[in-house]
Amino acid sequence: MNLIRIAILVILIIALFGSNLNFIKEKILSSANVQSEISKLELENDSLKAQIFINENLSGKEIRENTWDYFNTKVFSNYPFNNQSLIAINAGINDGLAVNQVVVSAANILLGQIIKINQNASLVRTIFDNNFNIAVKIGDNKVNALLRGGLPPTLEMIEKNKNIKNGDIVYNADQNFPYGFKLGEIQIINSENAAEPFKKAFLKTDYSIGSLEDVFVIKNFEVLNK
Amino acid sequence: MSEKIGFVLDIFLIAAISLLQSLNLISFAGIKPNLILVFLIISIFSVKDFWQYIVLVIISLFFLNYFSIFSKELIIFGAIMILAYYSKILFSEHAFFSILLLILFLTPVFYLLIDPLFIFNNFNVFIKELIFNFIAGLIFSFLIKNPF
Repeated sequence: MNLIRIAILVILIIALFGSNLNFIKEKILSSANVQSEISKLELENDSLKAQIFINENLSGKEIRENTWDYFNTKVFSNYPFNNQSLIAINAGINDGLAVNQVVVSAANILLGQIIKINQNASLVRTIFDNNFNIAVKIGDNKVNALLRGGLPPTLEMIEKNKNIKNGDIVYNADQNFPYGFKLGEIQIINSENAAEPFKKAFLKTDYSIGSLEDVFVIKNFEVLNK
Repeated sequence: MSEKIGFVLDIFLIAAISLLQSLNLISFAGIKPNLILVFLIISIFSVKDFWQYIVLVIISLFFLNYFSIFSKELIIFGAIMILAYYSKILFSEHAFFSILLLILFLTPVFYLLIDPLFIFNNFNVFIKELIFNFIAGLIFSFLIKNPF
């Protein structure tokens, strides 16, 4: 019986600390590292695309560079159950952070908002949380929709006569977050159900909440509805 | 001696599973099985006495702590798991089936107490977690009851 316990424990320890075992990393898990690098590059690519999108679509001619003051911080734990999607980050009041500040996974990619804070850590509600609801726009046609957090987040209240397609960028239109920040792309569009007055779609992100190591807090964005 | 070693191994197992869960290292399509609930239920039938079980519950809460140890969810989780220990009196003869029954019972009870709307608004996610928990319970209890 103890042998079984030892076997399970060894498997769990490898799962926990596997990323620090270099020889395993190089020989067995090299594909996982490549995947992680690809994931980071995809996020970076997404961030640049979002910046181009913002520049092309924002009203007003004056384009400011480096508008936002990004504060880099690490994710140290996740809410352990499925009814919420929260992450804890290792920066708090001592680092100049405050409740309601916006958190992004990369520049221009919206991730969530700080909901609780103490001296050294903050709790962030992410776009995957059931209580995360914001107004968004979809694609070049700027179609209005409501984003509801969840696994995966869904886009609701999309007018049936509006033209949207898979892969269209979903970006923020809510006053509590910077306008134009990307949330993801539309994945599946359910337009066949004639009984429903609105279309519904899912939001696809290039990252999963479990894969996030570094996130950024925007220090100089002021929330209107506190 | 073997029992003592078993208990020490249980402590390490609980710590490792709690860490895996709070670091979000085990999830399927974004859904996390509640492995710590499963393992604590199995422990009800393997620990020597109530105090050993309490130690395991406290260690799990310590490592599950994601922001504050005094969060409503963790306090309720701890309370449910402690109360679950007394189910041993009811189900002492058929541990294997009792474990599976307790998983099916305590998973919804936990969510009903911390966030009842979650079950109704995210029924899909809830059912998937229940299935994952059941499968994990099946595997763990089969392994522990049937050593090689």
